[in-house]
Amino acid sequence: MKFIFTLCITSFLFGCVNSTIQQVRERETGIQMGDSVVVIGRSNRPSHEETEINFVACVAKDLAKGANALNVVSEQTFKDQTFPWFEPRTAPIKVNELPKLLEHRLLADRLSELGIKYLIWLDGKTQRTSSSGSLACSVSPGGAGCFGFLTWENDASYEATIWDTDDGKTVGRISSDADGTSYMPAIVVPIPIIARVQNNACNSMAKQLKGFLLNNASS
Amino acid sequence: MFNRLGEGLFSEYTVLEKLASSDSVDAILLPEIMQMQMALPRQTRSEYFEVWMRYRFNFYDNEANLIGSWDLPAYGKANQNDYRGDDAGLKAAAISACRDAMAFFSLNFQSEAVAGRWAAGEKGTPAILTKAENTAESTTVTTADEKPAGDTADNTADNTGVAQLEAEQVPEPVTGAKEQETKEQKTKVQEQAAAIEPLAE
Repeated sequence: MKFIFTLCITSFLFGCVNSTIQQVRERETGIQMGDSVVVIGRSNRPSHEETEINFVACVAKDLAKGANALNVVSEQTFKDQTFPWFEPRTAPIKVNELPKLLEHRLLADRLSELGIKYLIWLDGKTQRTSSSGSLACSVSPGGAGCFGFLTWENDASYEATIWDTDDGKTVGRISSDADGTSYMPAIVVPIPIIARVQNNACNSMAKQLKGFLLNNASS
Repeated sequence: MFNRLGEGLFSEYTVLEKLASSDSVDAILLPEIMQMQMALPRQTRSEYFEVWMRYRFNFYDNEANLIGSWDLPAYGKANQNDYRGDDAGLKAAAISACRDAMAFFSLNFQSEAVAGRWAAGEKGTPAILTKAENTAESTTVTTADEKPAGDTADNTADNTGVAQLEAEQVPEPVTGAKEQETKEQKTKVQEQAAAIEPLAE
């Protein structure tokens, strides 16, 4: 009974999120025993934008767990092992730069050691698009309390580009968009009702990526 | 960071305590941080902690004669949303800048003319000619080993024009608080970059 009550309250406190997933497949994919993938956030120069580290980590974590879990090499391990070829200054921007990069024997050997079959580049970010309302709190000897109402809207837009390291070609693209409005009414106690926009975009992206890489018929 | 760079770039390397002639090595490389700037998100009204660094790599032969120098600009940034507090954000940006410098060094080492001459075993100009130049360029190791300006002037008063030039150009040694600050800054940045693992040969 206690569990159901907690579940109801938790569900109630999360705001609604709308998410959209789109996929473009350019080539067949498949994962063999011993193959790994790596998820890397885009941070090339001179662009000033970077994908959030926690989003990249979230997608990697989701790919590595559950049914049909994939072998995922962490972004930091991959960058350290392939240093200096995937630093912001040196990372390939287009897939046609990859074959030339793999001509470096040391790098090709290192990718082979790690078993990297697919490189997944993540691009995009979550932004707050609007906010309104006000909330005031006060403290007095008799007690403390808040009163007011806040609302804000977040928008997450990410795109994953998947490169095949064997033939140096793009195998597909997946985009994940999500938006949601969060609320915080306060009558004495503030009650945050948070729309987990980024988390939703991450889960949708990881689920779609897994299906795409395993070449599931449903993806 | 430099240990890992040494492992990745050279078949053998050793770390010297100070710049001095040594028969046990083929050549000497002295890195210095010449300039460092940082910016907080609230200063730039952006989401990023940013660090700019300028490294200077001085190439010496094994008799500690300068062959030439190579300046490397480096840049690193870290999103404030990924880190809690200024310390963590700045540390991440500094590590990123150090990685950038080492990436630049590793990739351009073979094409850099002075590095090529150094690796080919070229000898530097004898110390008597370069002493003043070295001291003027460097704010760290050379100043600790140099004689004070007054001593140099006394010893070279009756010497040739070259020696006279040396006495005139030797600046005041970097001592006390400034020297300590320079060393602390270098140590801090090097410690922050200790997690970097360059691609080993």
